Amino acid sequence: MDRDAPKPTGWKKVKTLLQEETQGIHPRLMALNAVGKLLPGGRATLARAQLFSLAGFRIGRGTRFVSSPVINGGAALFSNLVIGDDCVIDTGCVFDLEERITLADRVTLSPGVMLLTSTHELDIREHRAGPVQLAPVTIGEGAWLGARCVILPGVTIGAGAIVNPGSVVNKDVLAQTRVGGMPATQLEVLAGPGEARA
Amino acid sequence: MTTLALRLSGVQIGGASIFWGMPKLVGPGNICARLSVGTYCGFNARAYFELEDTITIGDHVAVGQDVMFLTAAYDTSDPARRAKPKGSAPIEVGNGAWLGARCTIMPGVKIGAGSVIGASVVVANDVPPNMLLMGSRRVSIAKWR
Repeated sequence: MDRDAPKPTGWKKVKTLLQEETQGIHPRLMALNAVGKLLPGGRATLARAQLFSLAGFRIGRGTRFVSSPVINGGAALFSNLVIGDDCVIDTGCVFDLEERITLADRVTLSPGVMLLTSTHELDIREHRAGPVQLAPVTIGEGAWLGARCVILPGVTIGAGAIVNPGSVVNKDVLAQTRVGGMPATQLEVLAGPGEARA
Repeated sequence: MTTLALRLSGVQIGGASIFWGMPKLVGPGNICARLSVGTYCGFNARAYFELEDTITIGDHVAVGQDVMFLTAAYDTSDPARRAKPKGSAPIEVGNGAWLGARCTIMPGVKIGAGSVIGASVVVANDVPPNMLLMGSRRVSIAKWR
């Protein structure tokens, strides 16, 4: 919303208001959520992933969902989520699909993980949350995100990384490392593929 | 539409403020009268207001996803029952503040004008104006315009 723009009047006002009110309506997403409620929860199932690919999301083979994640985003919502093969998405995850979210193969999202792609510029003191800024989020192969962690916009998580539960990740995470804390810092370097376990 | 529904049910909301998705309002009695929101505010999905006491939001405030405002206070001195209800305390958020996703505002907290609270932060003490909170760090951003 642009604060300084002149306020529209008359018919133009009605039109912009209608546009604002209807842009959040995605019939396909509503149908997806309604059907998703009928599916059994509590167990990671392929059926829910099938349902998501039917609705138009790009989801790899063998990916399982425990429950339907919360999804919000604009018009390009369906093309903005790409999930690889053999991933597991646990309960109560949040995908903010204003920009692209990419999960590579064998990624595990624990309960309540939040992947954000929209934030604000820091603005003047009278209105700190300035213009909206969008940035994609990418999760590398085999990474594991702990319960209730928050991944902020623009972050890339390397392959085989582990994010501790409850941490807030605001910058990129190197491959084969464990990070944690608020904001997340590197805690450990993990053994990569083919390396001996330390 | 959500904003209109809230206005109709008696929540005081200033002009040009928007709620994206219905917030959860809980508490006893006339809860709608205890929440007041200023002008040009934006509330993202799933905001949670526990309206045991009043919650006052200033103008130009932005609130991220899953933000919780808690007003019910507890007395923890009894070892047999740590969560003993102990009245309530109001929350005030100053003009221009920005609360990041998933942060929790505890009872009685006053957030100063122009402060920014990072994602997932639990705010248990008052925040002076123009502070940036991220994790356990506090930085002044008063020089930032």
